[in-house]
Amino acid sequence: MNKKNIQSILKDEMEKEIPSSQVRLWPAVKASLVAGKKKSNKQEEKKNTTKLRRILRAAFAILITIVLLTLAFVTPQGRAWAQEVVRFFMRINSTTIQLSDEQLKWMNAIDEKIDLPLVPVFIPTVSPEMAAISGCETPQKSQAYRCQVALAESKLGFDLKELPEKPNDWEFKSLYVNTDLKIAVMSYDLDFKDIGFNSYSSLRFTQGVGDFSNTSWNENNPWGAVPADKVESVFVGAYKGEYVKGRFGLRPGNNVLTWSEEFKDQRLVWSEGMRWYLIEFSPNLNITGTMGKDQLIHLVESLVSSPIEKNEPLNPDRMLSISEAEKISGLDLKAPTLLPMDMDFSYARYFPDEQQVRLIYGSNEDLIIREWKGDPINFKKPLGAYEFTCETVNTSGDDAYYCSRETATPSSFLWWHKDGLNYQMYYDQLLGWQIDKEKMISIAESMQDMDDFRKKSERDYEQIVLYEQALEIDAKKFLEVPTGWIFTNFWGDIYAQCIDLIYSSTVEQGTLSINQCKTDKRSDTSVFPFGSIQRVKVENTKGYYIVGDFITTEDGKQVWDPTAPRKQLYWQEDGLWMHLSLSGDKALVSSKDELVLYAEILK
Amino acid sequence: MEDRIAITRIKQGDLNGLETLVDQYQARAVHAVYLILYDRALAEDVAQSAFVKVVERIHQFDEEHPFAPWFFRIVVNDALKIAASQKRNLSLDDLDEPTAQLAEWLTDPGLKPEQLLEQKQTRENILNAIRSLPPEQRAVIVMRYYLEMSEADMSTKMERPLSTIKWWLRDARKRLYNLMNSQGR
Repeated sequence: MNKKNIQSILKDEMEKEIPSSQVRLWPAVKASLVAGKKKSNKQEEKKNTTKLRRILRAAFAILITIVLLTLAFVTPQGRAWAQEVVRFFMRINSTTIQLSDEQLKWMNAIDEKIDLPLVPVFIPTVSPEMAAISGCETPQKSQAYRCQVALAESKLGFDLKELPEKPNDWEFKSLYVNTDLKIAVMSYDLDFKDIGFNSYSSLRFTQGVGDFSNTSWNENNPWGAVPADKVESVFVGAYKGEYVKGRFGLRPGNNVLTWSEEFKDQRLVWSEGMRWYLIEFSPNLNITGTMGKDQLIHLVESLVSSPIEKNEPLNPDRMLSISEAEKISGLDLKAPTLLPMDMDFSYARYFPDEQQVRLIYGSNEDLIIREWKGDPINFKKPLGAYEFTCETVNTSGDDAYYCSRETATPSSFLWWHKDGLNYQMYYDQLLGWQIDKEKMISIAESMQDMDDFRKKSERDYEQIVLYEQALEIDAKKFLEVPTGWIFTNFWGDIYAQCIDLIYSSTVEQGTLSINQCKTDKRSDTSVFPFGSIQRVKVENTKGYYIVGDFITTEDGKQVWDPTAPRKQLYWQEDGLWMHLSLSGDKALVSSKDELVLYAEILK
Repeated sequence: MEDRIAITRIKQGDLNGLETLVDQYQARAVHAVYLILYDRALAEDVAQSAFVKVVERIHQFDEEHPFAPWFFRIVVNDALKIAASQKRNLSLDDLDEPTAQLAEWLTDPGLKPEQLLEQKQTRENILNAIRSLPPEQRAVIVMRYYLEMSEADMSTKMERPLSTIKWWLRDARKRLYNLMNSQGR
């Protein structure tokens, strides 16, 4: 059913409900306008009175402020309080932030249509450090919360604060550790509500060492800024902190971030000695009664260093591995060994009435595979009425039924029967990511006995080669990682067709990212001020060296700061658009020659 | 062209220009608000006050752009404000049994064409299904399918990221497409 059909049905219904011939607004509109003109004189008087009241109120507020400040600095308690004023969030005196051209160029890719390449499923290896932790020896076991936390603590060298006990309806999603920044980020999903897909609240708990206001996360991140008058001072136990509700967001087509409380996002930050903690909470807008300020404070006051461990029963609505789904359903499930890029296994669900398991892939639940025992599906039923174009196709020598439709939300499905099991694979094209018939068939043909599971930490270096093959990029790598650096993660950029390698400094705080792209979408140096660009040679190729970064000023502007800790190098090599970016303290002590050297030893 | 002439007249203080716009857009405005609020009297009030706002804000309107999206932004936003104040967001529990069954079926994440074939739902169910959505999602459906706005335009009007609009549409479309399909049998 297309847009026109829906529109005509809605129009017909509305016409039946409220016939257009009965809608006559003009007399009332005209009367309002005439009355409005008469009112305007009275309103002018009222406005003047209100203005006077406002002036008096402001004068009173100033008087009160002077009294409080006098008390604060005259009394001993007041002096102590004034010395202890803690500021966490980056404050600005504006409710808008003008983004730089560089930041904006990242915002415009979302609507492009992309053919998703297929990537072999990668089962992560277990590092020796992880394998040394009791009960964390296998790839799947190592994803457990307990294992992830134990490894993070050994890497960071300090105990993490944790929930005393994970609430039953919370799901531990991931734990990210940056040993160089000395931070750990725990993510949870909670407040699940099934509204055709799972909607949920997201909670991110970051903890680190040092001064939060100087962290690179906070220091130069326009999305992290807060209008000064939106910051509330709070206490977490005996410790001072700050709370804010709302965030800066970008409206489509704008180049200005605007403060909004519509999303109800909340942040709470506080410090205890040398440690700082940040909670970021994005509530599920489809439910009411989730956490507010008081509940968040109550939650963080309950954090402990040694939580209670408990074995949770398997949840048939949210099984995090194929083996769990097999255990609950009793089915011998098959799972794809080939998946669209970045569309990893998310969870499985069991429907006891239908004795059916659904394997759900992708963070947006884009790809769903149903499996159940039963007679082969009857492909002969007519499906044309649903606007699907259907055909019989072949998967591994067997007949299968493939249907697709090109409507506002294109979708496709593939049905087949094998060894007593029925399979239905559905794909909803969201955000322009496309999977064609051949790819659907390839995914189906790749299905095997395999225990895929939800991964909760960074990707392995060994996985890069799979992304290289999928994106058809021969990425350059360090034959030997330069001293003082360690590989931490990588990702593939489908839009610009890039592979980004990320390294962390083991000496000073710093991050080195090496981006290699088949397109020039991320190599636009015209976004930088003219005077900040120097020409350099990388071996025999022309390159550009840029020192400095855009910073957010107090009045919400992005201005170029040539002293900001970021150094970049752009060049082209073997058909790839190369970009090397060094940020953090390490950038301050690194020279141009050092960056060029890093570029030249990439092979 | 008619819109432009009308707007120029309003800018010159001639209210007859507004009468042309009222004639042209009143029914769509009332219908759009009705689809969000399900209250005819309120729908007429909101549409009426939106036309008054047109006069008050006409100097903010850029004549290089079409009038309809600008006007319907006022209409939909005002409807949403009222919806928020009323908190009339129905949950599945509030629906009568046949509709609740239907809504439950609609929340099934997968498509079941063989089941669609067997469904015989009335047009009233369509309105009920829309009614079961939160007001903001109802507004998205109204803007996309009734007022025929583009997703990008809706995103600007709703002041929500494009991804959120796409997400809402995805959910709402699934329900509606299923309904429409069963309707056609």
